[in-house]
Amino acid sequence: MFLPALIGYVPDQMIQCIAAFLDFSYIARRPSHDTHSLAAMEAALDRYFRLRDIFIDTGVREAFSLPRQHALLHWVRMIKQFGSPNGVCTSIAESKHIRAVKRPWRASNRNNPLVQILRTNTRLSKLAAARAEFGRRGILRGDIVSYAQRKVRTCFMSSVLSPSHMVSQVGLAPLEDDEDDGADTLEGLIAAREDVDDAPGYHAEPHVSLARTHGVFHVHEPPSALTDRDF
Amino acid sequence: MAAVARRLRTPSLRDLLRRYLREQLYPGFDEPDAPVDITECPDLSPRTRVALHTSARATFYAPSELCGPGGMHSEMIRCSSRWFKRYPRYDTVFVRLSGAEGLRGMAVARVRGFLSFPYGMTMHECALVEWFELASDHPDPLTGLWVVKPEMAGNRRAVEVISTDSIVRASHLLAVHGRTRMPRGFHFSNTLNAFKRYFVNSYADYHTHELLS
Repeated sequence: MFLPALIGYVPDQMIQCIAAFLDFSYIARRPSHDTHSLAAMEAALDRYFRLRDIFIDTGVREAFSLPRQHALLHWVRMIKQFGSPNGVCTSIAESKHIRAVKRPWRASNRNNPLVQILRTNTRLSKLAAARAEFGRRGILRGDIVSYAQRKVRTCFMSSVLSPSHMVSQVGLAPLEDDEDDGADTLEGLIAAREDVDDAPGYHAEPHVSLARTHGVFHVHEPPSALTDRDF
Repeated sequence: MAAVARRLRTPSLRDLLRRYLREQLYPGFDEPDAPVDITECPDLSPRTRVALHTSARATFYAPSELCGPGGMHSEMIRCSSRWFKRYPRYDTVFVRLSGAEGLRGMAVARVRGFLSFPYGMTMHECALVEWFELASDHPDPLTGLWVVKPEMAGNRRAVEVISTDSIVRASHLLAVHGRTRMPRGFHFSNTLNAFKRYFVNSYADYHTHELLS
């Protein structure tokens, strides 16, 4: 953002106004907020609304009945209620449009498409829900062969380990528990992701490492050539 | 070392490296800014093989940027006399200071070269930098940006060899133009040499803004 490039070309108050707005939007982008950052946000917004009259004074605008600028007033309260937006962008909803509207429309026969689109979406979400549920029950892991192998192995292990052979014959049902890391299921994935985020020490200190390649310069001259000029 | 010193146009490179070694081997021994006689610094052979690197990668936690897993972000810091065989490019960086003075405990410096050399059993990675100092104690009232100026030692730029561990990340300086006209044919690669004062751009990206506010 090359704000100083405008100095001298627009009124000074306009630069201060834009700086206040930039401060607001840059703070809003933060991944986490505390009372200090929210207070700074409110102060920046205050400054912005105070200074923006310059746009009326210079005749750029006649009034500020702009919904987007009005929406800025609600940001701090919404962040307090729902947490940081963390750089959320409306283009995410835009990309949802492809899956929710464009693809189902292509799948339709173009005759009365709305009903078909809705039906496709309903079925897709039901499938997704079923998939999540199957994953939760551990049905979607591997294929039938690996399932049989797992079963045999568990059976064998329990027969070796358990003191009574009678129990080992019956002990087939709880076979998932020992090796289920849950990574195949949706919940498992989310949990794994959260593990990464919360891992202590993962958020490393700033760190600078040199490039792997470099030019090596060492003294080719005989030692007598090292004159006082160099040192 | 002689060739690197010639290439960096810094005849005092050996002394700078010796001062750097003293700072590294005995951290906190000297008062900050206290003059240290060069004879009290560890000796370094003039035949030490010094490698000159033209870039370094800074990695830091910046979840508000477009970032990799866990919010880690990385960027290149360049110091090349002919970047992509075209023009010189020497980036500026934020350097962590020991105290809380300066910009939130940081200073701005321009990297002239990344160096690595063996001393004892360790490979030291360091950077030859030219310092910038704050032009005033408060930010510019108009833009809210801090203003820095080149720090001079006598009539030359103040240079020092610092450890790469003290470098936080790259920074972005914007020239304070004033009212004078730019000369015709001025090349942008000279920007960081030509001006007397620079804004430290805190709107360069979100992480910079977070660092400086």
